[in-house]
Amino acid sequence: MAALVFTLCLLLACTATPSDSQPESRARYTATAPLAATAPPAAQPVAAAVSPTDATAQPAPSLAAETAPTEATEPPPTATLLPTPAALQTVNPTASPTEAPTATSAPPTEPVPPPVASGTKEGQRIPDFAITLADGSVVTSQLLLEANQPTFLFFFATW
Amino acid sequence: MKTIYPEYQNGVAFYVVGTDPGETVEKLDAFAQRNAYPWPMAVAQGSMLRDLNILVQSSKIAFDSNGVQVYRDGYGGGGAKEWRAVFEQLSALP
Repeated sequence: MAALVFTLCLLLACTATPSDSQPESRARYTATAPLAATAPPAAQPVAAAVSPTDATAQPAPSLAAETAPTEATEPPPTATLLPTPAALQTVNPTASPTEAPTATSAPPTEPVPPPVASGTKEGQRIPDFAITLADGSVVTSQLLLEANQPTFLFFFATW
Repeated sequence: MKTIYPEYQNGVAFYVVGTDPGETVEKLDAFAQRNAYPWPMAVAQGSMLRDLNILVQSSKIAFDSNGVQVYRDGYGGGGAKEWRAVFEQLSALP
């Protein structure tokens, strides 16, 4: 019988050691909790494990309730604030280089014919010119080309 | 040219340009009216004659809607048949 009681005591002593580390580990995360306040509850779970009806075991849940919000509130702000500036910094540098190629890549949809050299022979583009009509109006080669107007010029003198 | 011009005047611009600097556009226009020429008369501005290499009168230049010259000829060159072919070519081009 005495041996049985002794073994039970040993078992209780062995089960009490892991429970001591839990409040200490919680106290490490709560930087606002004073060390004096965390020290007494560290021993209370042992007493709670021995006698659940003991009145000293009641402050333990209250401490857990106080530390739980602090653990939940501190990490989220740092976790949510860090990604957004990083995302903005990574989006802005890539935005300007990607917008420029898209703006320049739109015009190449139309094939541009090779320019014809200007000259005074057949097959060459006619040099720019301007003539004045009898009514005073001026006709230029530029106006004729803008109007897509084929033209025949006959050079003449009255003599 | 009197018979060809009316057929193509709506599709091809046709101008008779004076080559003598001493002849004004008014003088050229009066000459055209006396001879019942139906086309507009004009005088060159600036260095047009030099730029287009017009050395003698009765030179002819035709260019398409892109400004590419399709016909050039000098004094005495061409005739009704050839000019009609040029007008036909210019009218057929887009």
